[in-house]
Amino acid sequence: MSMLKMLRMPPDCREVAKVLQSFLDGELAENQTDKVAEHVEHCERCGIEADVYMQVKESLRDLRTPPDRDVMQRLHAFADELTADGE
Amino acid sequence: MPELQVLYSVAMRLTRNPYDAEDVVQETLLRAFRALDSFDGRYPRAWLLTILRNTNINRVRKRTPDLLRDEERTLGALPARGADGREGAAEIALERIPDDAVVDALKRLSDDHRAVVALVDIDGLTYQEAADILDIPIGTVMSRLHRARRKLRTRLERDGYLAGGRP
Repeated sequence: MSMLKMLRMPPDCREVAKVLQSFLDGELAENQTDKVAEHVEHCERCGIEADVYMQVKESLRDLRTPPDRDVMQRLHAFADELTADGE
Repeated sequence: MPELQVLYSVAMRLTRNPYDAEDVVQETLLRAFRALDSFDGRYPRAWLLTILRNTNINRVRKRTPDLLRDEERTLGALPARGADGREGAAEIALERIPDDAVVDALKRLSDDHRAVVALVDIDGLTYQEAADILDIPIGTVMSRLHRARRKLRTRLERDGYLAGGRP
């Protein structure tokens, strides 16, 4: 978000804009999370911002591809063997 | 062991090679198992990721000639480099990713920006885990990630892929 765009925002929205992405990532402290969640719920402008960034995040999450099954089987077997040897 | 998939994904990003990635994860598991007594039981995934990062650094050191290695140590860039000495963690392999529009937007990001987006949004790491893997401060992860997403957003909006707004 541009500096000018932020300056035109109400102070509450400005504060939320600063931490919105951390909020969506679940990286805010609990008390801050509650405040931002409430604001986003009631403020249309910030709600739209949150929706857009969630779309970006989800489109990236969709790129996650499961690793090769054979590789994962070998790694699981290796991990199991380690544990078995230690018993 | 749900952490295995994340370990392998991150190892693939660091090594850009499935064989090396598998080796690094195996070595990580072995080291973790040996060091189990020193583990306090908190944040197992972060602990394993730290071991993985160090394992990869050692692997790169073993393969890199001394001359190059000294230079890299001076630059402090070793953790972010691949086996071939070129940029590793920061240069994310994208060829297997299916969604064309997002992939295209990702490719336009700088290597540094793409690396944090890949680790946090695709692999699901926390800010701190990504900071540990890339050996950068958590504040740098945040600023790169947020800036990268803004760029992705702008690009996807411009290309008409991102609607935005509530119904």
